[in-house]
Amino acid sequence: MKKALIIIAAIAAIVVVWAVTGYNGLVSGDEKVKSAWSQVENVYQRRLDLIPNLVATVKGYAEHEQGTLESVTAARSKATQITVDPNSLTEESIAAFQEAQGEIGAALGRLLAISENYPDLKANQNFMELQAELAGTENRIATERRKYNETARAYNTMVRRFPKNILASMFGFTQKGYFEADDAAAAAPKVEF
Amino acid sequence: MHSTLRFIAAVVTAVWIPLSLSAIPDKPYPPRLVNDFAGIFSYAQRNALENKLSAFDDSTSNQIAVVTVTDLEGLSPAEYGTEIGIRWGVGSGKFDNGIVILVKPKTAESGGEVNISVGYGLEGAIPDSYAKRIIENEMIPAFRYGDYYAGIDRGCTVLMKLASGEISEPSDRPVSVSDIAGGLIGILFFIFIIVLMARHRGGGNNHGGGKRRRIMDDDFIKGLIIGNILSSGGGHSERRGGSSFGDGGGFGDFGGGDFGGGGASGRW
Repeated sequence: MKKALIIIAAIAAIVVVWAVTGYNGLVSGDEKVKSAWSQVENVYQRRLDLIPNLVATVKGYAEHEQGTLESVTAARSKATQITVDPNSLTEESIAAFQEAQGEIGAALGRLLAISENYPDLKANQNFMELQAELAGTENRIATERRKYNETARAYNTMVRRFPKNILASMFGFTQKGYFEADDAAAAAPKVEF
Repeated sequence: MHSTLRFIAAVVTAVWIPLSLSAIPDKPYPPRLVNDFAGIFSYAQRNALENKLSAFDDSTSNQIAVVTVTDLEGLSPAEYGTEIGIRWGVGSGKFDNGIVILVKPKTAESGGEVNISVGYGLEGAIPDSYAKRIIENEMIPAFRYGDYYAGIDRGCTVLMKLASGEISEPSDRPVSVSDIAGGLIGILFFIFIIVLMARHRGGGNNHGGGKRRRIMDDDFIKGLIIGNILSSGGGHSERRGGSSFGDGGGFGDFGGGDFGGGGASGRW
């Protein structure tokens, strides 16, 4: 009788320890995904911050390209309105974010394409530096997105795998969405030199 | 049905993404800062560069890795360079102060590509536009002549000065023949002054013990002159060829630094 009690107590203790470490693992995994997401937002913000300066520089040389310039500004202001709550990184919210940002990418691609027609603009020191910053920012976006996907994948595996999935559903840890590979239309502008 | 498709897509993405980047070479063992997979440096050049970079690592903890490859495996040079930085952990884990210089030499079939990837910790000291300037002004002019060592060496020198805070901005114009000639004139002038000084000092040291000291001075000055000539060797060459550091320099290991994709690329 006494022996049975000890065994039950021991099993209960093991389960509690497992639940606590499992829960803490889920929490820190969740935090890692959130911090990877904030890095993603930072680099997208970096691109948004470059746009006003870029538009102003191009405007000085290519006044006839109002339409293209306006589409960049419009895409930018649209994208700033779509934010993602880091506590609900669902597939849908990430897809919406990605779509809005993809429009900026496409508009910037068109802007850089027309700048090819303006040799004075291409030779402008400020424009060259902005182009370099933009190219670096595109690579930062790709890098941070990849890092986010890797972090989210590790977390999702943890959430889905038995027996941790029991804990995850008890405490409401849900799977995170991924970035999808860009389709050709929304692909990042290829900055050629 | 839809969810099955989505599941398959997720599995394919999960498997495919790591595979697409598996072309990156493994971290070298023993660890080296200069990894000339494309074979564009001579033995002496590789040693000289390794010694220069490992000395910089020793004194500042900033790590600059030079990697040359013959094929980018379908990746952009920026992706390739960033991935090497992350995988190898170039720079210290505490400061993320690593730099990766990647060169794909020009061949008959394909253009040359170069990329500088900058670790998180150095993004402030070396913004993308500065990395771009170094590529366009220091590296590519030499690469066009096929002198890879001179281009990398010049680029490293400027990167080192930026990383250590010695200068805050790289030159905004390309190196030209006159720069190199100017440097030579400066060196010749320096030698001339030293020779003058030597003669002058020799003449004034005629009292007791003067002769002995004069010989010493002469030897010292000759050493200086020869050392100076050797170390400035015309801009591109086997500098420190027979260095006593030997293979691998004093480089310990990569420190686990992380990269966020900063830097710049160029082609010629």
